[in-house]
Amino acid sequence: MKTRKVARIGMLMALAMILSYVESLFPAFVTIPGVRIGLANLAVIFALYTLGFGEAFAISLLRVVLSSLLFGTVLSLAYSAAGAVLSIIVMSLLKRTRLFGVAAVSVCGAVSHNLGQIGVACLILNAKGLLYYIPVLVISGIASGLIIGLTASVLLNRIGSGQEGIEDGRQ
Amino acid sequence: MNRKHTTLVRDTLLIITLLLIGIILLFVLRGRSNEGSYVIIMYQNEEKARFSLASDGIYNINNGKNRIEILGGKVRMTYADCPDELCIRQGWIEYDGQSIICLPNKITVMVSGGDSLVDFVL
Repeated sequence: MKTRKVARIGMLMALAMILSYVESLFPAFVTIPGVRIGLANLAVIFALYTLGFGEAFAISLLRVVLSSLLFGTVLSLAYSAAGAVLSIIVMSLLKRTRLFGVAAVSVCGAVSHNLGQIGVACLILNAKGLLYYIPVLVISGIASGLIIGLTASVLLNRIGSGQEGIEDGRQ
Repeated sequence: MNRKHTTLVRDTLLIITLLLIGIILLFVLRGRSNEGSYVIIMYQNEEKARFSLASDGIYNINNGKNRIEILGGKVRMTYADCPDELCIRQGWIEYDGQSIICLPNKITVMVSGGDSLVDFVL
């Protein structure tokens, strides 16, 4: 069971990296700074629902570090890491309430990811003009979160069932 | 089945709430972050004069057919020789992109400039 889990984390980790890379190939997604679909979040959400918080946290953070090293800059690492950490915490808390579905969890994750990024950007650049970006990032976060959330929902329904047992040892 | 249904309703409500917050923020923050720095007076889409919003005073424009007042970074039309005087009723403007238009006199008072957004890469 443990080996299976390690393999699964590694696989999702690799998938998240690939999705990051695929997204970086499409310049159309990054016309406005900070506005992205966040394809990699698909792997993170899948991990959150089939493995658990710790595993999803690790995948998300490692994904950010590795993809920043490969495709980004040092500064983009700071932005993305803050967003990723905030996002996974918010998603995990929201999931734990058992009140909401994958779509809402994903939307809140995407919005908090964007807010985390802009928060760090405000701290680093200390620029008032960045405030203007917050509503843009909230709304784009809702859109991208919804796309990813609905995709993740379909994904979990098709191939996610029977894997919840790994998360809490039951079933 | 029922549980799935209520989850869907909650999801929708949560997402709509977030969207509303986003839209409200859009209106609240847009104005605040982009206070203009100067006023452009246009006659038939042609720039005729330019005043700094920092220089308080009353200025005659359009050969005395209109008058504007600049005070504390805001601008308003105080006089127009046209009958409807809609431009005067519009009151003060102060944000980048806002404008007062006096249609009969073909005059546009436009606020421009302001904080340029910092270019950054996420």
